[in-house]
Amino acid sequence: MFGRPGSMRRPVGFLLASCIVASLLSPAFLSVRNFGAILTSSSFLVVAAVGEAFVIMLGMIDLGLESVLAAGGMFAAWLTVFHGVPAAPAVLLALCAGAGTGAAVGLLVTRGRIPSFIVTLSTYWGIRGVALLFNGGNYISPDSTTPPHPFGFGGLATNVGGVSTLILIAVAVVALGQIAISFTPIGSWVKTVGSNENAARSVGLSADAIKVAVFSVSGLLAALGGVMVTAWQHSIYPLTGQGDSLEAIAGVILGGIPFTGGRGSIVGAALGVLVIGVINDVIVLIGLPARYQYIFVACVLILAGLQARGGRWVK
Amino acid sequence: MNNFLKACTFAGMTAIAVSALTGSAVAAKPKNVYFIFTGYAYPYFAPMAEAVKQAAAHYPDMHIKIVNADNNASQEITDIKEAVAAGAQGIILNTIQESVTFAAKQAMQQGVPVVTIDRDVSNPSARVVFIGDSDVTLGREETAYGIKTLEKMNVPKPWHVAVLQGTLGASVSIDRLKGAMDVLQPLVKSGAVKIVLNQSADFATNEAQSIMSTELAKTGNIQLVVCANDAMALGAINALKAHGIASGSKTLVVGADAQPESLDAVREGTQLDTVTHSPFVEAYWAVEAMQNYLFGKVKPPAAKFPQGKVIIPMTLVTKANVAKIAAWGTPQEIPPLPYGKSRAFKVVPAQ
Repeated sequence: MFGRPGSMRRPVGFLLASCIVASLLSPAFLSVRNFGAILTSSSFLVVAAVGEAFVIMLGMIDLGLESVLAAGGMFAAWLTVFHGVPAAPAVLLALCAGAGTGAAVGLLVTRGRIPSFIVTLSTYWGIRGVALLFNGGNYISPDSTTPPHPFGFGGLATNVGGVSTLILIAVAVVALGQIAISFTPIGSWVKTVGSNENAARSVGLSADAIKVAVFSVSGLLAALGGVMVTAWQHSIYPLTGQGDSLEAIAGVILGGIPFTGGRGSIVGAALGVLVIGVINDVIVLIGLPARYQYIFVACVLILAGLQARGGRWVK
Repeated sequence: MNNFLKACTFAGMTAIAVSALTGSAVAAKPKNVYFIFTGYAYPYFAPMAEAVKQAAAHYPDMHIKIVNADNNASQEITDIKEAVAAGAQGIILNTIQESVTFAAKQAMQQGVPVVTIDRDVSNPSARVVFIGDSDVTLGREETAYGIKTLEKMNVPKPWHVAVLQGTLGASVSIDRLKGAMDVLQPLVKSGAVKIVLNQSADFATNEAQSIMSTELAKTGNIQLVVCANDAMALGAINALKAHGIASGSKTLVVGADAQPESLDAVREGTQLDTVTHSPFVEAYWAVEAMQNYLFGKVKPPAAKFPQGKVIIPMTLVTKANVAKIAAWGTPQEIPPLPYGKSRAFKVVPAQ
């Protein structure tokens, strides 16, 4: 009834079940405003998690996501506020920087033969350090200069027809990701390399090029998440997004993509991230005393993890 | 030949004597001082680090090395031990949590004086002097003004209050929450206040914005939002704005730190108040305190500064006085340390 491991039925089912339980705990859960709040606050993580989903499908991992997110936002803000660069090229440059970081990671993994865990742990620290350099460890906001200088890309966080543009961007990214996985050769390449790299090489796939491309996409999407959160909160701190790497990975696993890679869906990963958004939302709605929130999160994650159970062997 | 040898020996000994005298007349090697701080996790500490660098420039007899403990108490303990092992002659310690007290005490016992800044260790014997603010007072001040304003505006009771705490377990969060609750609890008991939200937003703007968005989706009936720092206050204001609620008239938001954006918000009326506890004053005084101790063994007089606590001036910032306040509450002139050998310094406020 709930589908095989990796099936999208599982995260859909769990998310629906979570929403039902949440609405019983707090009737305020079932309101358009609340759904809007969950989707908006989760949008940056969803976008970044799409990149993480591709990486995990390859059987790799990206721990540096949150640092690239913060540095991407800081870079775009630094260009517009301190150097008067127009918004569009500034955002483009930030995305290119994210992609470039990802490409460097990919090359270190493929040519350097360094495990992705180690390389991305180093980007977790190194790119965090880069984020600190933009404004001497300080945050950046339009008021960081005299006279103030707006970001210029604040339009990313407005409304279109009553729907936040952040949500629309996240939906577009998820849709593009899912189309790529399901309807283009990219999907089968990524899954083949993820499930059996030797077999992939033997049929002529360039596994190294695929890995570099996937890490580039992951970096680009993390930077996009950073630009989005900067537009939303009208400022960006060097350590914005702390904890997002783990949350994105958790969302991807909850969404049915196993650590071993080789299968899964982008929509599933997005739904997994929304499960985490629902957990955070419920904590506020039921007024859970602050000291108990970590324990609550742990319990719900275990429950959520039950639906993401794989076959016999679990790592 | 003998005369020649005698002349050479005499010349050599004279040269050695002159160089020895000259060497001792040159300034002695600067004392190695380590500034170990929370890092850049929270916006308040970036100007503090900058201020330490600026203050150090006035004291060339101290070489101050800045160490980032990355908001990790275990890392800070390691940094303290490594500083001592590396020959530190003084440590200016921005305590992350009281758990570093034992490491600070060990440093003191090994002859390395410790000056704590902004947050104190739990035992006065683990440091020479504490330079900082009183977070309990800070929490009390920001909240009391909010309540006073609600009273003045004749807002019908009960007043619905949302509390956004800082990072759970951090002493700053605990103390600021205590200060806020000192004001709120009696009112809760009397029925004048109802606390509708009490959550941790980790001192972060985006988390505060998320939490307030969720709460506002449930109810827009909130009269006061008490935030443990300005970064969270700004997030709350963003959330109120996104929900079409006029911050400053329908809902009051209070914070602390005198972050630059918050001073603008106070000026505009979207934030009711903030409280200064200038990282620049703390940093300059801490460097001066270390200078006084290293070069004169001067400590704050016990009668005037019980338990060696030197509290910096704190100012409640409202619309009435915000024009006089610079970013992070940095005064144009840092007042002298209130004991020992000290002087005032003109500074450039941090942005």
